[in-house]
Amino acid sequence: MGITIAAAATAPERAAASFADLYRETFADVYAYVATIVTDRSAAEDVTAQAYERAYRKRRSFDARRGSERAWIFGIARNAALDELRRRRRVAWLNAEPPDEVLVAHDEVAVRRATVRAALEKLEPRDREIVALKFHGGLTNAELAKVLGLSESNAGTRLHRAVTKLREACS
Amino acid sequence: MNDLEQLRDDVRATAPQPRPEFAARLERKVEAGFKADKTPSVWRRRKINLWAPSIALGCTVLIAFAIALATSGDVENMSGDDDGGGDVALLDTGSDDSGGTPATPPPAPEPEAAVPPAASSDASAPADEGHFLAPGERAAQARSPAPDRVRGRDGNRVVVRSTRLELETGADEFDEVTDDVLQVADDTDTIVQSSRVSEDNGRGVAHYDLRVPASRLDDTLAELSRLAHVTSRTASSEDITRAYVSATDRLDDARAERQALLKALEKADTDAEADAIRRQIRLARDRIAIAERDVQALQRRADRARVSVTVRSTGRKSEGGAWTPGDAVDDAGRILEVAAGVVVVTAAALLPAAILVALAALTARSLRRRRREGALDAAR
Repeated sequence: MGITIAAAATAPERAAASFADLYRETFADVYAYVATIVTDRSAAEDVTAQAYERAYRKRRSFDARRGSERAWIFGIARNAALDELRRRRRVAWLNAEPPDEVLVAHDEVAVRRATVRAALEKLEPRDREIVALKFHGGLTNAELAKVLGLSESNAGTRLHRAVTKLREACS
Repeated sequence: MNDLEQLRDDVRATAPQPRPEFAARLERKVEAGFKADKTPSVWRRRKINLWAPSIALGCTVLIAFAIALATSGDVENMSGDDDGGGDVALLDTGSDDSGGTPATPPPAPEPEAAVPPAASSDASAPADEGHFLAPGERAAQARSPAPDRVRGRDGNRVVVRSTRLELETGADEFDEVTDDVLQVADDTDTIVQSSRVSEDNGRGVAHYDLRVPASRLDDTLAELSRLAHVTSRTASSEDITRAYVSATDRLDDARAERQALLKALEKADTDAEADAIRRQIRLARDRIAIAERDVQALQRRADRARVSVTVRSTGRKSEGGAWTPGDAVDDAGRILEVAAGVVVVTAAALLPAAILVALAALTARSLRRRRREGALDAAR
């Protein structure tokens, strides 16, 4: 990634440029992860915007020794998403939204992905979250552990169980 | 492509995609550094909530500072009381010999003896009978009653004066003041009956028992009072007129008897009669001697007023005089001492508050984390 926010903190312009790079690199993944957790698209947009704003204001507190920037931004996004869930006290998953792709019965790929989406919906929220962090966010197990506040082995175990459940749900 | 890779691709393919207009809007905000965004956010609300513990912490600091100041003020007041000792009203039984208003009305003169105004008030107050005076009257009362001569036979009362004077001085001037007391005694023909000086840890006490010529009592007391701060002065008088008159009468009687015996001796006819008269003359001579000794003793008591002087050191340096580097060091030390005391008191007050704030912060963080996780669990 090559972005070192802490090192650039002494140069505001470079820091802003570095943050913009981080944003462009992670925006789609963060949005996908947040949208998997919160209720709807508009909520996902609000939470994603809040997450980047928080990250921007806290960028000087980032410490590269404590984890990667990607784990850092996902941790902030997770907190923002959970805060939104707490605030709204309601849960409505993205499956309530119209699908992005039109399901065609004879399209094998489309059928398989619809199955995956349905399997994801059946997962426990924590399992669904870790799958989203892994596959949407592209985090390593170490980064997963950092975001979730777990040990790396524990994060790996939980990920394995969640994927196993997902596979079972797809079969 | 194995199953896991295919599953990963399928999950990624189902990932929600942001709307292009939202992505463009957010990117503009990022590039602008979120400066134009004025919409309230959860994060901003939380920052505002941080004011509550900040205000509480500030109030705690203010209270601690006030306590420290109050404590420091008490110390200053306590030390100031030492200097305030001079405001204690003086005890005095004498009247003003300068013609000023007497502290107590003079008693009516006794018919058998004319009493001078200066001694009149004390004649009715045998000893240590006094009253409190306002501080403004100290100057007037600093003057002692007029000295009395032994005039019992010429109509004046015979009075013995006693004065107790207490002085207070700084530790650095104690030796000088005690030396000056002796110097005043020398200058006024005063007899130093006894003296005792002791000093311990910078606090000295000196006692002097002086016999001051009655005629110079005023001047002597004035000079002694100028040596240091007068914290107490008590004057008393003892009327010995009756004893003096009695002694002088006995003396006169003995002398008259002796004269009569001498005349009788001249007229004695026989040796036996002459021997008897001579024995009576010897007895009369003895009575004369005793009476003369008594009269002289009473005269000495009246001629010399008894002045008891006590000099005490406060244990601190005098405030007067030039400000020396030593004083600067002392002041700096005192300031550091007070500052350290303030720091200790503040720390003592803040430490429990800091512990409570830290515990509250930890608890709030833990609760927030649990609530967040609970929100995720509830998202089914």
